[in-house]
Formats: sequence, C-alpha cells, structure tokens
Amino acid sequence: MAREKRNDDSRRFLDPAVLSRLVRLDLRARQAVEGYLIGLHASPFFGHSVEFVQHREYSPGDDIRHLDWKVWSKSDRFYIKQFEAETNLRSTLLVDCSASMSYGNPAWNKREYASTAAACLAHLLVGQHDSVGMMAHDSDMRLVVPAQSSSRHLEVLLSALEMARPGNTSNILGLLRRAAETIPQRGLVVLFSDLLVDRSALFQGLRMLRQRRHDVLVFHVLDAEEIDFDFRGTTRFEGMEQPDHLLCDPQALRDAYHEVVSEYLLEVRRGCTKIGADYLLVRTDDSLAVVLNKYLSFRGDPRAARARSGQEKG
Amino acid sequence: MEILFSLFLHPVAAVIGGLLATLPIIIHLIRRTQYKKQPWAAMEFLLAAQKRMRKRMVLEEWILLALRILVILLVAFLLSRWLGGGAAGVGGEHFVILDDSISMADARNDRGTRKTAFDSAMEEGIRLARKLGATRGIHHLHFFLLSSMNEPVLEGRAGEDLARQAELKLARLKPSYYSLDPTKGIAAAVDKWAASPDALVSSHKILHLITDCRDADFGGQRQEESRRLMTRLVGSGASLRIVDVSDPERPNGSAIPIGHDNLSITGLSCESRIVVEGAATEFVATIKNFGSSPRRTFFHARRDGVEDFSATQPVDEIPPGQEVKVRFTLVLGRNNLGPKISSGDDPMKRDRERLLHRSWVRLTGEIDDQTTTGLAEDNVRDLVVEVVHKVPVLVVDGAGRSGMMPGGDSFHIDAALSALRDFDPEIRTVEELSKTRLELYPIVFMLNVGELPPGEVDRLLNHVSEGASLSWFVGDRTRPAFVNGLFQDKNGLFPVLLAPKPADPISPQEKLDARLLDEQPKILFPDPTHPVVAGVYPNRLDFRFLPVDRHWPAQARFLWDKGNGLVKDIILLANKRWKDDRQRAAFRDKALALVATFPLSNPAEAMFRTGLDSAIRDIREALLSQSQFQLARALEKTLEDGGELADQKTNRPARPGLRQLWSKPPFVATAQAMGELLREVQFGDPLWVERALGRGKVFASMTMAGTKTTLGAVGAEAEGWNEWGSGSPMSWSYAALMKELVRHLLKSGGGDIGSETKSTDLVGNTFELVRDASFLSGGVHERFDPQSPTKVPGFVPESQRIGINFADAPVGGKIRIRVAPSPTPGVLYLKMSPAVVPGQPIPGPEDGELEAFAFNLDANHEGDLRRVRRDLLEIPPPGPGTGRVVLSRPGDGHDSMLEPPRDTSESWWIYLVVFGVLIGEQAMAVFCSHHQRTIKGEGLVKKSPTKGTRVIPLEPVTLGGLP
Repeated sequence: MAREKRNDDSRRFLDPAVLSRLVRLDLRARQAVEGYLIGLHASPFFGHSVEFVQHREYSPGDDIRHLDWKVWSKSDRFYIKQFEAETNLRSTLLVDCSASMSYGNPAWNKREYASTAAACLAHLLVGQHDSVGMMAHDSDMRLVVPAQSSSRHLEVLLSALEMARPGNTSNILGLLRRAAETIPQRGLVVLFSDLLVDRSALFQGLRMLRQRRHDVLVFHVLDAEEIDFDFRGTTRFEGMEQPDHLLCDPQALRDAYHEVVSEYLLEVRRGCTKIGADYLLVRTDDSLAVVLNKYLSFRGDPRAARARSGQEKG
Repeated sequence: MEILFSLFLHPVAAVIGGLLATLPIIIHLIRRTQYKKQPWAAMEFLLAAQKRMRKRMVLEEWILLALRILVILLVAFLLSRWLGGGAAGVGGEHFVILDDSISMADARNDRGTRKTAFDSAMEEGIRLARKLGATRGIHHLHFFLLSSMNEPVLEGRAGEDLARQAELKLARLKPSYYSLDPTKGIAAAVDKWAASPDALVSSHKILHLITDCRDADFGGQRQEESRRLMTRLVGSGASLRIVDVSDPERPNGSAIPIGHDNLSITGLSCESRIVVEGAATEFVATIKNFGSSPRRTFFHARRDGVEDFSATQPVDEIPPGQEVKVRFTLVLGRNNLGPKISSGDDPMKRDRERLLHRSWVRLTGEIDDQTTTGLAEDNVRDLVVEVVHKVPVLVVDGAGRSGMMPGGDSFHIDAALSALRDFDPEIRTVEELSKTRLELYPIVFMLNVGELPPGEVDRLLNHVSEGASLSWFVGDRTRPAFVNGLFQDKNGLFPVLLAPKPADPISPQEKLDARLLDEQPKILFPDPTHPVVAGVYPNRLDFRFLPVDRHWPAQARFLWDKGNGLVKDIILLANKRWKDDRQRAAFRDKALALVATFPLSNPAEAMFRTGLDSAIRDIREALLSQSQFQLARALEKTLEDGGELADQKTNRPARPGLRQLWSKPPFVATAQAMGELLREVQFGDPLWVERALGRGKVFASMTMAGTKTTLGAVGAEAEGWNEWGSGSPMSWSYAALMKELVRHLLKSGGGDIGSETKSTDLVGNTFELVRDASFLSGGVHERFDPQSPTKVPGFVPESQRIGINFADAPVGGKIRIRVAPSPTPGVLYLKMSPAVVPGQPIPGPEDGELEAFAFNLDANHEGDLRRVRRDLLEIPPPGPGTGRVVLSRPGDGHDSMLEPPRDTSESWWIYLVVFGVLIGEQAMAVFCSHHQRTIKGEGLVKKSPTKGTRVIPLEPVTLGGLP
C-alpha cells in the first residue's frame, strides 16, 4: 500500500496541470523524469557495446583513421572498417515550432507540451550518457543543437527549447530532409509535432529518415479541443497558418469534424506504420508519462527492433 | 385584406402571426452578426467537415426554419380563428329585407287594436336580431327597406343591443305608398353579396325576406322571374327565408291560405282632358273587388276637398275578382276667372292670358270599406282636371290668310267650331306656329299644310305624346314626302302613308251623274258605334248626295296598318266601279261560292226558299252590272232581309226573313263570309283615319276641310275637292261631324272614357316636363297637397316638398323640369314664372303658369291581397352545395338554418397538425444540435477508466509493433 501511495505521489508530477504551473523548462523536465523514474523499478536498458559490422571499399573523403591496414597488407586494397555506434545512443529531437503549435491554453499549449516532453526525453537521455541533439523548425530550421552527451549539454538543450517560439507555417519535408542530411550517424529521431501538414510531404520526410536507418519516433501532439471540437455558439474560426476562416455553428459540424479527424488520424497512423516509424498520438491533457513510457518501451522492446530492422531490409 | 377577412375571424391576429413568423429568420440573422472569434489550427479539418456537411446542413437548417415558421403560423392561425379558406364560417351574414310596399299596410284587428302586416314585419326583425344573438357564432344583420335597398336602415352584430336599436328605429317606420316588387329585393341582395367584401367573410348567408307573400308579387306573370331570382340566390350558396307576415298565419298544411278581402279604387278619370266651365262632364271611377265574396260600398266624390253629393252613390254588388265603373256627372267651374279674352287681341297676348289664368280642380274619389281588415289606403284616388272657359283649338292653315277666306279650309273649320259653345278656335299660320304655346291647345288642326319646320314637328310630337290630339286635313298643298316622313320617322305623327299624288279630278259629266243619278252613298261608316259617326249613321244612305270629288288615296294598307289596333277607320270612301275584269271575276267567284252554300234543297229550311231565291237572283243581277255598289247592296239586302208579312190582297203568305236563317248555327259562318265579302266590295279608300300615339291621338282626313283650292291652279285642278262644307244637301253633316270630331279629339287617352291622363301618375314615378325656354324664366314654385283620406285611421296629412330638379341652363331652347318621385299620394302644383316678353306687361310675382299633377298609389297591383301558393315559394335546392328556400311564419325557429356550419379552427385535426409540427420542430432542433445535449464521454479519444490514459477508439492498427 505504501508503495502504491508513493507511486501515486510521484506521478502527480507528470500531470500536465501540475507541470503547466512550472515556468522553467528544466524544472518541468526534472520533475517529470524524476517523478517518473521514482515510480519505476531498476532500469533494464542501461549499457550498450560497440561491435564491428562490415567492411566497405574506401572512397575519397573517408576518414583514413578507419582504414583496415591489415586488409590492405593482404590484399593491397583500401577498405574501411565500419562499426556500430561507438558511443551511446545518438538521439535527435525534432520540435515543431510552427504557428499551429501555439493553439490551446497559452500556459500549456501544444508547443509547451512538446517542449516539455522533449525536455523530459533529453533529461532522460543525458542521464543515460546518450548524446542528444535538437532541431526546432517551422517553415525553416530555427534552431539546431548538435548531439552531445555531457550534462552541461542538457542546459543548452533546455535553453534552446525555451528560445524556440512559434513562427510561421510548418515545412515538415524541409525539416526531415535537413535532419536526414545533417545527422551523420544513425540514431534515434524523435519528432514532436501536431502534423497539421501535407501528409505526402510528412511521409516522404519520414521515409528519408528511415532510409538512413534512423529510428523514428513520432509524437503527434494535438490539443484536446482539436479532437473533441467541443465548441458552442456561432463561432468564426480563423486559421493560424492559413488565411482561411469559417463562420459556423460548431455543433452542427461536430460529427462531420470527428469523421474528418478520424480519417486523418488513421491516415497518419497507417502512414507512419507503413514507413516503420513509431507513432503515438498524445493530447495536451495527457500525462507526460505516456511519452516517457512510450520511449522506454520503444528502446527496450526487441520485437520493435526486429520490426524496424525488417522494414529496413525490406 | 379581403382575403384575410375571408380566411380569418380575427384577421389582425393573423397579421401579427404572419409578422411573428419572420421571427426565426430575424433571430437567425441576428445570430449571424453575433459570433466569437476562435483562432484555429486545424482549419483543414474544419473546412473539410464544412464541405462535407454543407448541403445537409443547409437542408436541415431550412427544414428547421420552415418548421419553426410553421409552428408560429399555425398558432397564429388558431388564435385568429382560421375559417378554412372561406369554405365555412363562424358566423352569418344576414340581409333582412322588410317589404314596405303599401300592401303591407293591410290591417287586422289584434285584440282591439289595429295592427298591420308591416307591424308584424318589424316585430319579426326585432325577434330575429335577438334570436341570432343567442345563436352560436357571430351574426351580422343588415336591415333594408325594400323601397331603399341602397342603404341599410340598421345594421350591426346580432344581440340584445341590436334588438334594442331595432325596437327604437324600426318602430318609427311605416310602409311606403310605393308598389314594390319583392323579387327585386332578392336581386339586389344577390348583387350586394357579389359586390361586397363582407360577403367573403362568411359563406353562411341568409336573406330574410319579410313580406306579405301576395300572389301579385310572386305568382302570375312574375312567377318565372321570382323563381329565377330565387334559384340564382340559392345557387350562389345563400339561403332564402321568406317570412309570411300576412294575416291570418299561413297554416303548414295549406297550399293557398286565405287572405283579406279588399276593395280598391283602381281608376278615376274624366271624359276629356280639359273640362269646359259650366258644362256637364262625365267622370268614371273604377272600383275593383279583390276579395272572394261579393261586396257593396258607397262612393263619394270631393271637389277640392268638399264633398259633392251629386256624385255620391251606392255601389251594389261588386262580384268577387271583378270591377265596376261608377259614372257620375259634375259641372265644374273655374276658381281663377281671369280677364276676358278678346278675339281682337294679339294672338300671343291671348296665349299669355290663357296661361296665366289656368284653373285646376282636384277631384277625389273615395269608397267606404266597412271591414276592419284589408287595405284602407287604396280607397282614395285623386284626379286633377283643367277647367277652361272654352277649349282652345289651334287651327294652322297651310294656305295662310287665304285659307280664312270663304271656302278656305280654316274658314270652314272656324265656322264649324265657332258654332259650338265650348270651343274657341285660334287660327294661325305655319309661320306663327313657332310662337304658339302648344300646351294650351289640346286639339291642333293642320289644314292643307305642305311642310313644317323640323323643330315644330318635334314640338308637335312631344305635345301629342303628352295627350293632345293632332288633326290633319290634306289638300292641294300637301306634300306626300313630308307627311310620309312623319309616319315613318316620327312614330306615326301622320296616321297613314299617302300615295304619290291625289286622285284625278273628275269630269263635269261625272260630277253631275254622281250628284243626280248615283244612288251609292259616297262615304261609309265601318264602325257605326264610333262616337264621331254614331250621330249621323242613321242617315248614312243620305250621303249619296255628298259630293267628294277628289281625295288623296293611301298606299296599300299593309304598309301603314300593322293590324295592332292603333289605326282606326272612321269614314271610308265607297268603291264605285270594278277596276278591271280580273277583279270583277274574282268577286264573282267568291259570291257564287257563297251562293252555292245556301240551303236551297234542305227541307228543314224550305220556308226560306223564296227569300233565298230572291237573294240569289239579286246577287246574279248585281254581278252582271258595272257597279260594285249593286253587288254590295244585294249582299247587304241578303244579310239584313227581314222577310215579308202576309198580304191578304194578293194572298201572298208571310215570308220569314233571312236574318232568321243566318242566326242559325249552321249558317253563321256563311253569314260572316258574306259580311266579309260585303266589306270587301263596298269599302274603298280611307277618308277619315285616326291613330293612337303616346297618350294622345292623331287624325287625318284624306280630303280638304274647305271647298276651294288655294294654290291658284287652273282648270280641273282648281276645282274644290268636295262640297262638304257648303253647297251640298249634306253640308249639314259637316258641322255635326266636326262637332263630334273635336269632342272625340278632346277625350283623354285613346278616346275611351276611363283611361287616366298625363296629369295622373303613380307615387314613386318620376317624370320630366319639357317646356320652351323662350316662354319661361326658369323659376318654379311647387306645392304638394298630400292625399287626405277621411277613412284611413291615423292618417295625418302633411304638406311637403317633393323636390324638383331643373336643368341649369336651357338646352336646345328647352327647359327640362324633372319631378322627383312623390313618396305619398297627393297633388303637385307647379307654378312656372313666365319670361318677360317685349311689348307685354312685366309679370308680377303672383303671375305664373299653373300645372297640376295627381299622384296615386298603384291600387291595381297593391290592392290585390290574395296570397301566393306555397309551392311557388318553396323551390327545391338546385344542387348540392347550394342554399335552400324556406317559407316560415313569424317566430318560426329554423335553428338549423340559422346556425352556421363549424369552421376549420374548431376541428380536432388542426390541433393535431399543430402538435405534430411542434414535435417535428423539437426533433429537428435536437437533430440539428440546436438544443443542449451532453457531450461528456464522447469524442475520439476516451479516457481509460483504469489507467487514466486515453485510447483512440478506432480500428486496431499496429503502432510500430506496439500492441
């Protein structure tokens, strides 16, 4: 009973209502992660080793430090010796900073939620000595923080997240292409976005990441009102990223809206699944435990790993 | 608004409801202007949803809007009492027509008081107002008097208030003196309902015709018309309730109820239009018994209000349904003597003096009606006659002054009339005619007039139409084209059509033979009873000595005599010789055919054999002669044969006359055929002819009035046309015939005593007087003396004005005086101021030309109180959806008829419709999410009840390998 009570007490820090009262992001992240970890048993995911994978023929530009001189001595040819990650996991957090992310309660809108969730992950990753990088984007790339694993790097990440303010429309394809091109090694790419973008561009970008053997984890952040659409009275809806507006009775449109949203979510979910990206829909009123749980499940599930590897081969 | 009145009992509520029906639209528009702004990220989904729902939303919104409007309208319909398109009504539109014709004054003794049918009608009207007030629905009553259907005397909503108003207002009404047709009231009601917007309010329309239901109004000649109007009324959907207020009450089972007996004076007339002062003048009163049993009465005559006992007489035994004529003779005097008119005065001055001193006598006839029931108002009748010192006779001579020379036309006429004490001939030329006041002269002679100005022809036509007599004597100046034009274009101002030229002059030898040898009468009298010739008829054979040498033949008779009795022959010329052998052969065949029918071989008629043989012998001999007269005399002798007495000397036995044979039924036809043949053989061209025209008559003589021609012709043409006026053994007959002719021409109407003149009219009639503007100044004073019967209870005479309408200015030299209809019987005196004539004394304020007119009620129609049969009134409904006709007694219920049908707003299904629409509106509102409903627990992502997380209720998909 005492154990359960303790768990309940710790999980209250994951409550968005509680976290929304914390102004500083680092506090939020620490509260969330520590609260989460306190509730867990000993982690089974600590410690990773680097292993040789294959040779490949040298091509100009390759680092000559990786030349396998033994092979050269035997065959008089230059081969590069390739290993699995030499370091701990390299993770990159992609945070959507488009205008649509500012929808919702100003103290706890989608951007706040996404930033907090990203901070939580960063805190968790840095605590495991994994390197964490971050990119914030809207129509263009706004912030790029290279991946590092030092504890001081966490402060840089958190500062960067706080600096990232909602801007223009979202250019998801540009972001994902940039991420695919700039992340030098395979790693984990975590996308925090409301995905109110062109789906074909989204799937194309995710496919590019997957082709570079990145593990992709998509946190689809939506506000509760965007799903429930619980409005009353004549309302003029004005687009945040588009110049469109619509004057209507929202109750009359509610059913049709639900249908459209359902179809949209299904399309996104299916698209991500098909590509091999992990997908999770989170609402801004969801506990951050959902996000952390998802991440940890993702890291420790061998089936998921096989599924990912299988899709990579395919 | 008319449509609204036809659809709703409370149209104002319907209008308000109609305005309220726009409320949902207004609310919708207001809500469109009041909205909140919401920044929205997922516009893509919203636009897609809106695109997907657009048509459905619009449809749902429209349906909801329509339902809400319908709800308001239906509620408004109910509040405003929807009548259902006018097919039914919640009340009734009632026209109550009170027959106020004089027959409704038919009285009865009601427990010691005199009560008329009109009193019963008033009571029925009041009772109806009260009864309808207690009947379901709203009933509007419009009371009309039959005499004034233009404006209702009282109208309003049925109830106690209206009943009290009716008691006050209707109690003061009395029957009029008019003769009114109740079927006209039906026609007026139909027209009013057709034209009135109020008629659309209710289809429950009832006409209550409260009348005495006389046969004179609904039966007889009016039967078809009344049935047609009643069918038309009920065909329009209205019903007719005829209330019979006559006494005694009409029993239910009786087809023809008994009615009150009644005696009436239906006519009072004088033998002449103008009465000569001091001359005995005959008057006739016509009394008719409209009852079912013989009646006796007593006749009184009052002269200017004073009873003249010389006329008072009992009237014995008037058979039921018949009339008797009471004749009485009065000697009247002038009440306005005036100056003596001298023949030496200026003719215009003489006219003026005569006009300024006209004298009229009012004669009132009255009968005693001993019974307490029936109509008392028709027991009195008025007559006005003009009394003159001498009757002025206008003689216009076409030959001018030469006609006054001995042998001239006017010379002989003047001599003949001057010998009469009662007539005063006034000889004028054609040129002086335009200055002559024709209304002064009841008789006008036109002697040998060639032509008249068109204006004078019109004056003469108007004068004759008003009752004067016009006498033409043709001559050598006569122009047939002119007089024939008068016949054709002026309604017969000349009575015949003349041949193009007069008969040829005869030779001196023929003249001598005619005077000495010819036994044939020169003129014949086809009607021996005609007042003009009745005096000389016994001397008819003496007219063989009357030389009428020339005359103006008429055209073929069928051209001017249509056989309608307008033209009468007074004197005819005799046929002389056969025209030709063909004519002679034709008459011979006819005569022999008649002779063949004589009963020569019949043993039963053997006693007439001798007479018949003699007659046949005479006829055969006459057929061999050259003279038609011989055949005529043989035929006449055969017809008039009186037989012979026995002769002792010659031992000849007595012979029965053939008149005895012709009186036997088998031989009446033979005698008639012989008479026809006789007339055909002996009657030649017409010589004196008269023709009725309007109220007057025209007369024409086809030979000259004088004995000399005046055109100055030579030879045979210069010879006189006859020697009637002088120079003949029969010249004595000239004065005698002229005397009878002027007396005949003076008689009123068509000449038969008993017809009333222009001066007598019916109450309610309007007429117009046309007078020359050059003689009158235009000022007219009127005085109306109402009838004052001494036998009508409660009658209070009062002097009144009846109103005269003058034209502002003379038109065409005429002043038209329109006399408004008199509402009561009586005598109207019009005093017309004369114009100032240069050279004549200026007329004083008292000077005026007096004319009098008597107004009587139409006793012939209104005095007949017999009641109509039930089956003539109760006609069956002409078809489904039409009204009905009921005949009821005063106070009869007929509740089912009075109660209106139920209207649509009272039907249960209209409430069901409202309830259904209301439920539909609510359901639609909920369906369209316009009502509050809980949405908790709904949505795409629901919170897990156990873990506090949310799941997506979609189809299971693989989430990156996660379960």
